[in-house]
Amino acid sequence: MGLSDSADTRLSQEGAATVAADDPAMAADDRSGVLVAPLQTIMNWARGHSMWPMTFGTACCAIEMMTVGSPRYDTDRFGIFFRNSPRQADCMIVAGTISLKMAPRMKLLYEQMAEPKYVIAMGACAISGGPFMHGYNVVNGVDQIMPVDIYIPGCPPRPEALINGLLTLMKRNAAGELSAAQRYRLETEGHL
Amino acid sequence: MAAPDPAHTQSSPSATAYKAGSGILTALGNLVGEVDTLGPGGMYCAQVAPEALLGAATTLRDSYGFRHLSLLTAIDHADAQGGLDLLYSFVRKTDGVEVALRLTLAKDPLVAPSMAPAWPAANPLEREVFDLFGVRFENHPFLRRLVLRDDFKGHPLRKGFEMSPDGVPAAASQAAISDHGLVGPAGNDDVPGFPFMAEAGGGDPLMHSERIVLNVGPQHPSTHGVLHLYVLLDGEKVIGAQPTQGYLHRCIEKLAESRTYKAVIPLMDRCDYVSSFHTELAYVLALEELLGVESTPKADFIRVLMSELVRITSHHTWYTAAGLDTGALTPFLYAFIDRELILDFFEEVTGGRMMFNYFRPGGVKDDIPPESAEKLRKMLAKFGESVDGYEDMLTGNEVFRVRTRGIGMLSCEEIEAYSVTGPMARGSGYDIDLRRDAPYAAYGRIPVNVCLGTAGDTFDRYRVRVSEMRESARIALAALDGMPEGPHIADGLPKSIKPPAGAAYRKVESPRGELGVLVMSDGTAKPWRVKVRSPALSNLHAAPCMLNDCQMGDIIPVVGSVDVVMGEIDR
Ligand code: SF4
Repeated sequence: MGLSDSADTRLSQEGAATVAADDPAMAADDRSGVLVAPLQTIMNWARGHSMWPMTFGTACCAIEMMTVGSPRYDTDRFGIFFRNSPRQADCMIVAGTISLKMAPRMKLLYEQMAEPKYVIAMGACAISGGPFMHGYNVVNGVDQIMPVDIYIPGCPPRPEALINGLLTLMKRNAAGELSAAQRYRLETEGHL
Repeated sequence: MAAPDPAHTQSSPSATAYKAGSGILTALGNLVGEVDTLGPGGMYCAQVAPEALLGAATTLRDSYGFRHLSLLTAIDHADAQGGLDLLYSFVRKTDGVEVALRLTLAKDPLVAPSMAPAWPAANPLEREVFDLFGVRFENHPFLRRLVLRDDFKGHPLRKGFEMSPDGVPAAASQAAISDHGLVGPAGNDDVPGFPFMAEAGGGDPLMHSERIVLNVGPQHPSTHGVLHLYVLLDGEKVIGAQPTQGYLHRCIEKLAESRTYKAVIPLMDRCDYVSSFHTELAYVLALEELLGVESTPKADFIRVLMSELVRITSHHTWYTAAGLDTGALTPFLYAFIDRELILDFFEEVTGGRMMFNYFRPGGVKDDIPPESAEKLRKMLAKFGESVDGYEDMLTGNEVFRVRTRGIGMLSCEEIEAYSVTGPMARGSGYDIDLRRDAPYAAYGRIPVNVCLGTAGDTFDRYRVRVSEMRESARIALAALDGMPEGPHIADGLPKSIKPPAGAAYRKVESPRGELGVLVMSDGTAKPWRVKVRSPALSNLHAAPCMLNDCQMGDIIPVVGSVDVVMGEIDR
């Protein structure tokens, strides 16, 4: 009991110190290993270090989205895990063309996600309709139907580009920036 | 253009097969009208009257052995009466002879007899023509739009259909998300309901079960793209299934009509995005046939090399999915390590990992750098060991075997009825492979062993694909070793391509089966019509046969064994 007690204490001392080094708003008590910080700071810290995107591949870009989970790119090391259910996801990676038939389904999935939620438009199609923008059945960019946080150009973007996009989003979260959805809501309500 | 090298065997397999077709069409006698050729390539095509269509098609099938319906599409005349041609093509398995029938509908209203009752493969294809051209097929069992929303106005592949120059306006996209675009039988008498929907309700009284309709997709954790299935369940048992599609209809065929011939190649890449080279190749072969151009011997070998490598990466993706479908994640991790090595080679040669834009009429865009070829050779030499590793993970895996053995059976009769091709047909021991039966590019000069299954279940389809990976690596190595010296592209080709008027239909063996591209020219710099024959579409619509009597948990592995790529199915 005593042994594990001291081991536990040492671990929490180290942990608290590491976390506190990240952010001036946090302070670690050296002896007890207690971390003292405003709740918002702790939440930002957590959101900046894990991101659970939903697998929502509609077209070619989805193949590159799969690839980022594979050994060469391995997003797990950044705390990025793909989830299958919108209920468990923070972030929707729109990887591919959205047709008029798909659009209502996509909106439904987006609405099923819990706040705070983020949208990444991956690839030319999700940004603007891409090579098919003149077509009669293609939504010319997902930002026409939902707020988008990150745009990743490419057709398809390289896996590194997608990782860069995800990390950019996580950095923003760590800095406590508003998501596009929050900004949109505040704007429409006249607060911004 | 350089004079054709006499030692360079004609890369087009079609000349003799085309010739044989003319005699057969003439023998149909008064069932058909005038017999002519589709275009400069020389595929024979007979005119049929609407009343004679069914007779001619069934005679071809039953008396002459043309059991495979390869193509069913329409071509708009753009004349004042609003007429169009329906084009059908049939293939005989025994000798690969292909013939076409052309049915001219002179004016609106466009009504044609349906082949679907006699020929199940025609069912989705006729629905597609109804959707995109507005032809009504009489006696079709379920004539409803296939790819577009039921509330879509107009038929986009008609020449008279005006596309807005800026695409779909934002307001229309926003309006589209407020409803699902389904106009049910109640709302619109023209739209038939799904046939088995009415059967939901009371089930087996002994089991106290209830018949329910289960929606699978279009967003589903097992991510076979945006596939959507309605499944009718009685308890746990599947008693009916109906695939719906169109969630990825990206207007590729219409957009192709507004681009120059070379600018269509990137669109072809995005059709079947898991094996882009194959659609590119079929398109380029059709274009070469129209232009009367031949590719150089070296380019033929490069084309074979690339086709086989991309087949391996496509099967990698499929193998990954097969593992995930049955609950195994590890296959994904290993398959993608090897897949990346091949993508590196693609990137070094073409500049792209997935979208290559590499084949050109007359050859290929760039030569292969010698260092890359060396690296690839080393990788391919060891590839067999990688496949051994894949097999260790699944082939002998008890869970995988139990989940796939004897499940999702497909018989040879069903394969013929639904025009199933590729590994799905071969898994049932149905011996077809275009690389051997109608060799294109350099396939005639490299022997191809066709991998066959016996049982026709999900497991055998898996076995076929894994053996094909080994075989593809062998062919790729042979293509690399046998590659002749010389230019990688024929010189003297005109900068702007304007093929003479006519049509050409060429097919390649893609990882999913017979992938064909029909290119029709009116003599201008832009194609009049580009049609992609999607193997996965025909294969997918055979899925209800395989799903009958399966358990609910088997739906995903069985449908997964079709290897659907929605980009190519919906286009
Ligand atoms: S951006 Fe390019 S690769 Fe991505 S979905 Fe669109 S066409 Fe495919």
